[in-house]
Amino acid sequence: MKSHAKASRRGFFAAIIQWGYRERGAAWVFVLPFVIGFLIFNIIPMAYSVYISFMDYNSFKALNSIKFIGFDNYVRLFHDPIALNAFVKSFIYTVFYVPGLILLSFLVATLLNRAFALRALTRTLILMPYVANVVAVSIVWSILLDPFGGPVNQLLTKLGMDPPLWLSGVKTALPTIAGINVWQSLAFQTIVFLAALQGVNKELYEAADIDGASRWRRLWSITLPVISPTTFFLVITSIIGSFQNYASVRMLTNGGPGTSSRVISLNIYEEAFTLNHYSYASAQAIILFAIVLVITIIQWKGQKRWVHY
Amino acid sequence: MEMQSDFDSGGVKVTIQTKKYTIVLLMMMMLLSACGSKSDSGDGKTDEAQNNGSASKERVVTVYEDAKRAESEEMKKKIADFTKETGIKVELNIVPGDGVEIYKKIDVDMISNEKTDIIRLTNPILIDKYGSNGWLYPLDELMAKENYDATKIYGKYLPKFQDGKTYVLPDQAGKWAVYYNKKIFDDAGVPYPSGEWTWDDYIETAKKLTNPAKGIYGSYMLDYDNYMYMLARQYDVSGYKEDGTSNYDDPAFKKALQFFGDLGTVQKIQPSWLEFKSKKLSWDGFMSGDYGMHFIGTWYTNQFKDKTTYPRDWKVGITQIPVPADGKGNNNFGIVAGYGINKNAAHLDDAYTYVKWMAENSYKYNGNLPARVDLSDEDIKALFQKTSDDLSGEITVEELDKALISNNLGFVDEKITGPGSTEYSNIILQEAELYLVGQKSLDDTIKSIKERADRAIKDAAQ
Repeated sequence: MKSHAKASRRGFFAAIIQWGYRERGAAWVFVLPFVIGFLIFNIIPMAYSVYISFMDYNSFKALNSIKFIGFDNYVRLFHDPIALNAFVKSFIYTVFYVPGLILLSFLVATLLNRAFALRALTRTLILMPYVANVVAVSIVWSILLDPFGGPVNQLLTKLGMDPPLWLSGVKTALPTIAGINVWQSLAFQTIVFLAALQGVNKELYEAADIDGASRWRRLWSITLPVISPTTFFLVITSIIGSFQNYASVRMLTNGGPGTSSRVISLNIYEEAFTLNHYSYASAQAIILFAIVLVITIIQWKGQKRWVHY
Repeated sequence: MEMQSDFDSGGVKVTIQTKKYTIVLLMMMMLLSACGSKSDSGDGKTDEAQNNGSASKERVVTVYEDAKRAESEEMKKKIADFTKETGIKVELNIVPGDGVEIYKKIDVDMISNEKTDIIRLTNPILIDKYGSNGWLYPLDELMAKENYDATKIYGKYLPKFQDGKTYVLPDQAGKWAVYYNKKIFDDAGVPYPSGEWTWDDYIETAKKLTNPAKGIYGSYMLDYDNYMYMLARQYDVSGYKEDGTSNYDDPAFKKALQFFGDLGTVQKIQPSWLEFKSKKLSWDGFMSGDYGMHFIGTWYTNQFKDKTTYPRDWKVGITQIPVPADGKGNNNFGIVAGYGINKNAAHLDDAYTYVKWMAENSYKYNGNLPARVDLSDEDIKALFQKTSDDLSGEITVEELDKALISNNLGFVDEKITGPGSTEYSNIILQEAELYLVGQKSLDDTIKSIKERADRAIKDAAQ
């Protein structure tokens, strides 16, 4: 009896080991570390966040004393001008950041795709802002754009211009942050665009040249359609990234002046960790997730019109 | 199938199989240990090591401290003396950041049942937040066991809670003062301020010191919430009405906010809010030597003692705070800070010893005013003498006494404390900034603060 049980246990373990050597099993063995990490650090916290958003965990109290309150936190959001304003600010930030980033990175990639002296060095240098620490970048830009005697405004004043307040201006803070982030994120987008541009079949350009196509026509009818899957990928990831922007806003303006650059990610952080409104912050995070999801689905559906695989 | 039989057949293969299991097991253990929580006790000891402390008879207390304080000589000396006197070893759980930032991490630790024993609470809002929400261990039984009469020692400074229990013993009851840079006064040929003076006098003095060509401002103030309403507090106007709602629509608050804003934008005696924020000026900016006077709490005295962090070629003076000219607001203000014990503390008895010792002795190290009412005039004079000695006589005992004790000023709380005070404070800062940068009118700002504070108070009550 005992030896039978031992044999069947050995058989079970052997079967598992054996399974690991089969293709399907081997695939699982390879993805398992990621799946475990994804479950622990993404799926479970997300599910817990959804759960918390329906509770009354909006004060600094013990977890075992929280109660279910249904959609109250979600309803509250629509009566909270600061939270609504934060969502609007995030949209405005996206409007400045994404087109700026896509257009500029495409332009830089086009320039870098040409043959010129020190091209390799230039391609390396463009990576420098990307690898720089966000805190260091924020400090440097804060000094450069200081409206009280900063070098940029000194230069503008010497040129006879009325310099803006940049990060300190109610109307200029958000576009300035977007500009700084475009500068810092440019490298990644540029490299991806560059790879896409280099993948465009040269014969297509030669054929267009023979047909007498203009430079603009070549761009519009060959380059943009061929690299459209890359553009689509970059637009989607940029939009998602722009809604998640927190670190640079925190470092550059901390949402100010007033609430003029208080984007939703910062608002969620402040609600959760300064005011201990954990449930309310979770509700805001879930709404943000839903908005990003809807935007992504719309883009996904809309890609048929302009993305050519 | 062949492989199956290979694995089933004895000896060497089984050994390989066992090794594989062992490797998988080890990897799982490493993964789990990496995911586990760790209490950094400063010297790398974990919770387990701490909990075993009692088993090995070593008496230990674990304490939250911010990085800057943990590194200060004052803190090191204080801890060394505590250990020498009590035999209890202190392990610091150092939290990155300073000021109120560290409480974001401590809040989460509390919810996660972290066992670090001691939390230092640096203002009445935090004392109320931790005490009223049940995160602190009540000290009453421990004190009763040894007939420790906290009321006799700390009197009016002993923080009170709605349930009547004692959760915090105060270690300081700081007041406010005006510190001044004697070199800037000398260079401008302005006599040092002394004795009673009004805010008008302060502004006039600061104007004489301000020298834009040299980058010198006559005054320096920070971005704390209480600067927005300091004048209202001097008049002892409460932040709450009798019915519990916000009292921010009282004209005193409007006047106070306008007064503070005007110091930078109209009087131009100190960096405007916009300049302060744009240049990211810091809480220790006065130590740069570019400002004539600094209106701040007495906790700031320590910065003048620390010539390693703040090397300076100028001497400091101190005088009492200015008051409104109408004579109706002749008050100084300040806050109480203190120590509480985490309700999940791993070393309760030793933690109690620590709280008591720090509450009684901290003032001897940091140059701040003690929260003890049982000290004699001689004790206070001895404290001032030590501060004066530590500052190589830059400030005399008489000057300290005149600025902080022997004057005609009453005393009121510096902060607005009560239901929803954390959020109330944030609302004031957020809305006041809109006024200070010109985004909102003064009336609209006051109206917004009142409305939002009312909502926050109502939410807190629920």
